[in-house]
Amino acid sequence: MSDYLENNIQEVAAGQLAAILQNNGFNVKPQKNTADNIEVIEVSADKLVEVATFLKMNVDTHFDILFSVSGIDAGESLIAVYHLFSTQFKNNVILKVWLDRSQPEIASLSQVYSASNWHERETFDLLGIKFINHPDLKRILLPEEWIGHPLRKDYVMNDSRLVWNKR
Amino acid sequence: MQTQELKLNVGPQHPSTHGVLRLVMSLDGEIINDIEPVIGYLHRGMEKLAESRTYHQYLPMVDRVDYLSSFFNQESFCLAVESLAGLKVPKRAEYIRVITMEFNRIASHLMWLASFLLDLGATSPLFYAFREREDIYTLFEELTGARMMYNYYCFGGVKKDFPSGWMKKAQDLCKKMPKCFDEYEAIITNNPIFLRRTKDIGVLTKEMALDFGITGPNLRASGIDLDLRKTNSYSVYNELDFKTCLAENGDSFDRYIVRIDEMRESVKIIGQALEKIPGGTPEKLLVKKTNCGCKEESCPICGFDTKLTGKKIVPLAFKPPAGEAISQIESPRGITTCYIVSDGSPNPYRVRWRTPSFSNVQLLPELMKGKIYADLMAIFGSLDVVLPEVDR
Repeated sequence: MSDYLENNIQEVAAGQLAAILQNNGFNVKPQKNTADNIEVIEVSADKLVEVATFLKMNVDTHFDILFSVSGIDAGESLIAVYHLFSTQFKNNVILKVWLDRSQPEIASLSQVYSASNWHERETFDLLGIKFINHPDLKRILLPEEWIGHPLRKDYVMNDSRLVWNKR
Repeated sequence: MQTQELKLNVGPQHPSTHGVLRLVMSLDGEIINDIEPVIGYLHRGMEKLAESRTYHQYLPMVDRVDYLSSFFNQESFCLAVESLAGLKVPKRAEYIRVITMEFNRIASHLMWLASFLLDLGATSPLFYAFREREDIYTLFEELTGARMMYNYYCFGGVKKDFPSGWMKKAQDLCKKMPKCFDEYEAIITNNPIFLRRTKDIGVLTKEMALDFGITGPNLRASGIDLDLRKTNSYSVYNELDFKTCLAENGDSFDRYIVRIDEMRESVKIIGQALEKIPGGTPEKLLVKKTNCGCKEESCPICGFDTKLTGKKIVPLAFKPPAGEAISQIESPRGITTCYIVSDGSPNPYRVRWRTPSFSNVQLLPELMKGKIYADLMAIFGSLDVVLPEVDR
């Protein structure tokens, strides 16, 4: 595990969007940009819905499309990743929320973006992040009775149903 | 008279679900009260498989995310890896990528056209559309050796140059194509049965489309000008002249019109790219290179621009630095993004595919509420869903 995924590597100067958020009283932490210069902003779990609503409604940001909700297993914590896009300004932003691995819970965005419904179900299915206030949180890709969450790094592959793997 | 709601199951094996999709419906007579799509029958765990493979081992599997537009998946993955590792792509390779991608877009739209009209009960457009699709696939077969799973791109370029005579054949096909599109339009566009089945059916409003994260031709049919090739240009699309195809109403008919227009634009793009490609045909390029022979990086004939790959990469030693990259491209069905997190090891730490069809299926219950059962396929078919892409 590199230290890249760990929470506090170094101080990064606030980008354009992080500055807008900070000026409006949100306590967000800018992260290192992606390799293709997309802003990454760290948000605390209890402020996510407020930040997303602000980014959607504010005339300077106007992020009207939620592209995807996904997650990363970063060892000690899980990271929920939200990818927003603005059709007006044609720019992207990535929101990251660090969650406690023993109790990964976060508020659902389904009240803000309808698109998040299935994406959150998928993240719950594959990574086991629970979305509070989600209208219908159940497995989507795997069968209902599946045990474990495959995209977690500690997922055990020698499940009895996968016994054909060891020919 | 006493009536009750009927639960009806459609699929998973049903001819017009385009793959393996199950729909659980509650019907009131012929009116659909609710639909619950059940997906996951084609889940292959693409994202998990990436964790146990190196970047080069994962590259051929990427084709299988969406089998109808393999080149786009490869482009999406290659773009992300290239920005992660800081690889530069030569101009000639970029042009080859654009030509193959746009041909692939036409082939994918033709497949959609054929199956959509088959859903509506028209059999003959299938034969017309597959005639041209066959021409395109023959070209691909000559170029890559495969008809559907090409595995042709590599990190920093493409694997080989056009075979001799390929560009002439491609140009001939480009000249032929618009006439074929006229032929489809003559059969379909003014057909009264087609019009009654699609006009004002399945209207997708702007607000709804944005709310559900719909992209691609479905979004443009609702009148929102979002084409990543124009707005957030990648590859060499900013050097080519084409227009974004838009419609206004967002019904099934508009989605059809937008796709037909897009095929015409794609033909234009290919024609320009074939003319503008640095170095010209491979035979002429070889002669020019032999005559020049200076081997300097900045030379327009034998320099970086006319190479096929940038830096040579040793697959075993390929370790992109720790970081993350996200690529966004305009695939035939919408915006495909590939999000890669690297921890500096030979295997990707996390690969995330965002595929447009996933959002399109999610929209279906919203579009179908209160409509009659006969419209189900006229609406679902027009959304252009490819099921392997939904499940990944």
